Amino acid sequence: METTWWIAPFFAGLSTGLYCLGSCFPFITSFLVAERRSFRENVWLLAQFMAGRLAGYLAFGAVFGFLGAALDQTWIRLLADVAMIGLSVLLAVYLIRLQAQKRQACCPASRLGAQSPVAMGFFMGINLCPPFLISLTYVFTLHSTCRGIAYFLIFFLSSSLYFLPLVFAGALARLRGFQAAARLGGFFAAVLFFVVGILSMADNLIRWFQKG
Amino acid sequence: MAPSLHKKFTFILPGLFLIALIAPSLWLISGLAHSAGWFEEQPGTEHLAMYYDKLPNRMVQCRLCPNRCMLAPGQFGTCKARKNIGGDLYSMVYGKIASAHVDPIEKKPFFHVLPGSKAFSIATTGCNMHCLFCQNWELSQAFPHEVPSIPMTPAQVVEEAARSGSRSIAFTYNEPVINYEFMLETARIARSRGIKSIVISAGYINPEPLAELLRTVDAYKVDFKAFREEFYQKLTGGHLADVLETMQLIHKSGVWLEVLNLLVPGENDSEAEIRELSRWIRENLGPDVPLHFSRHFPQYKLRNLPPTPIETVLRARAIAREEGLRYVYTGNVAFPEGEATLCPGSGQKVIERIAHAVISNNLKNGECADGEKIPGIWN
Repeated sequence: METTWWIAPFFAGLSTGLYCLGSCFPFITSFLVAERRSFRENVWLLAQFMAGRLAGYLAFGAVFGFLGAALDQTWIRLLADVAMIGLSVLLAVYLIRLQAQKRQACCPASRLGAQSPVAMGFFMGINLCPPFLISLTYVFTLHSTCRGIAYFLIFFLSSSLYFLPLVFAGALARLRGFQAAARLGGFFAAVLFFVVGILSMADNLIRWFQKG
Repeated sequence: MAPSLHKKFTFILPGLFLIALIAPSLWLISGLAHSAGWFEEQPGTEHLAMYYDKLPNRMVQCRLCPNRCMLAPGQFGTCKARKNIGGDLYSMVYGKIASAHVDPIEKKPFFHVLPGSKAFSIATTGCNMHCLFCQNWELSQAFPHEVPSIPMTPAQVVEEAARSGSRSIAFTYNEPVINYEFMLETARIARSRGIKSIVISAGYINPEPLAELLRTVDAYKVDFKAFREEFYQKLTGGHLADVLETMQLIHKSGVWLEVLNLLVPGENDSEAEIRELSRWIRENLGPDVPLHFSRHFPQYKLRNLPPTPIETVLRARAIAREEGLRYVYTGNVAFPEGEATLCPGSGQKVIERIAHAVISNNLKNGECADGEKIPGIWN
């Protein structure tokens, strides 16, 4: 029986998961530490983030497993740029609202703020970090929607092992200094990735038009 | 909580946490910028190369020689002369003359091309082969920036050749194929000025660029390494079949061809191999193609080997003549008989040479005294 269908993505996830964590770290950690929450709330938040990430992976696996190498590289990069900009905007909006909320005596949690972990996870999932690109190259060769989904499901599971300790990072929010650092660092990351996303998108659009 | 511990929790640890948050962002951004090529070198005055294909992700594939290097941005080819800059292939040695001398043409060696004339000889750096016994490894195995060079245009090279009284321009010392664009342009200008272009090469080039080159140059000497694929693979990094094909294409094109075989002791000097090579030349190129056997002196990475015994070189000459080749010469050996051109019918010496110098030349318009024609470029 052929076993490579699960061995390859499992070890790909295991060997590159730390890299994935590095890519997601500034976003997810600033999210977890920016506000004081209970342990249960942090678990739920991380679970939402991971669910969004899984949805992004599976969507990619299905589309690229089906299309194979037929899809133009420029389109993939443009999609990743959109994801990067979306991710930055979500984080920035969350942090700005959090700051605004603090000034008011009482207000309900914003709708966007409550939903953003899933959306952020989704955008994170369709970002083109190097391990993801390597996996994508492999999925291109599968030419099957099911195999593409299976690949990214297992890749997600093994790479997520590295994310589990992050649930304890939420405990840092008990100290105000860490909260402030998380908000500052998160905002810095959001601005940085937004600018890079715009630049990259412009670059890819120019290349796309030149090719056309 | 003690004040110092409080301070640590208020400022230092959150500060470290902030750095830990920001550092992956910068690391990720630098990776993205690298993959997008934002900080890549931009082409300056480098000359755009010929014969390459553009591939996805700004990769290129060179089609000049059988190595067919696939290069990512910023990468040099195995020849150390061609580089991918921003998704295009550039010649990094164009017009960078690392060596220029006026040599007797016999030194190349060409024995059937304008005997006794001077050849304006130029070289750059780099080579598409990596012979462990290379005699010019300081040039051939170097990057352009590792060796001092003078900038020259093709027109300046032709001008210098004319000024020196040279009747030919020799692309020599290192492998000239890797400086293809410069060689081609120089040969075109030289032809318009009545100066011949002669190529001294290992013959490791693809048929398409070779065909274009052959329309422009006048003579080609192939440094043939050995008649064994294992030798090519083990000691040169090339392949025998490609070089054999090159020799056949040169011969078919009508460009004058001479072949040199450097005899490396214990590696390519067996009687069987020399006999096979001679037979192949006779059957595929004809008996009139001059074959030079040259003596190896320890160089580069084969310093452990002794110099080739003189007897080996003389024996090789005898074998090739037995196999029916008419013009077989010896080099790097004090043996005037092996440097003389003989009329094949009468056996008379028609051109006598000693150590690259022509002592006497009794050839009249390419004919011996008895009217027998000797092929070559004589005027």
